[in-house]
Amino acid sequence: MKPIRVLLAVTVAGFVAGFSAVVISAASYVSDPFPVSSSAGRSVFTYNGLLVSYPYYEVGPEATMVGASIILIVGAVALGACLWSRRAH
Amino acid sequence: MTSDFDPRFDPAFQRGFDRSDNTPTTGELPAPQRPAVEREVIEPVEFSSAEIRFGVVERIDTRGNPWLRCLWVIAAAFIVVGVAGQWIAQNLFSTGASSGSVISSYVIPSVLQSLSPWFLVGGLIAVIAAVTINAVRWRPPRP
Repeated sequence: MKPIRVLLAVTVAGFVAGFSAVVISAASYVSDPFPVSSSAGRSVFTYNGLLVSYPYYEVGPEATMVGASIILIVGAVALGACLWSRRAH
Repeated sequence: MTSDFDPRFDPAFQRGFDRSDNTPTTGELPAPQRPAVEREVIEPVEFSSAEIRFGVVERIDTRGNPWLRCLWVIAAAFIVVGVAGQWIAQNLFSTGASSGSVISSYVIPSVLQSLSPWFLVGGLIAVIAAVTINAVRWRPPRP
């Protein structure tokens, strides 16, 4: 397997791992509400038949992992385009 | 004739030096013996038409480059995803709270707003890289 394809596979794996981390973080956020309070001033939602509320959701370092993987994917493909030659293929 | 040579310099580099005469003309230094050089025999290399041949720079074709095509597709896809992500996030921020779902109210807008700038930047980098590769590899057509 050529090194450029290995690099591309690693970056795609990083992207998938980062996106999976985002999904896991969102799932844990949704499953951990706090009871609704009359003085909270927040939006009210239903969770398992109960009225609950949530703090504002902020994506953590998982988004940075996904973003860095996006940049690396572009870099790997650009490097492959630079190194490609008709003679080698 | 030999007395005309300047004794400070090698006669081989002075006017009137006879190369067939191997004897030192000035009587100072013998002619330097050059070491035998082992020359490596290099096999001729076959070049394709897309490379430099006999000093003539030929046109390098980038049309068949699958990586370059992939780069253009990635660029378009990432830019579309980035713009669409920002647009959807803004829409969900303004209308999602009334939908009654925490996912469409908080999670999806936040995720999209965090990730769409990365997609936009990645798409723009891909466009710049593709244009640069095309520009670097472009050659004027041969007459």
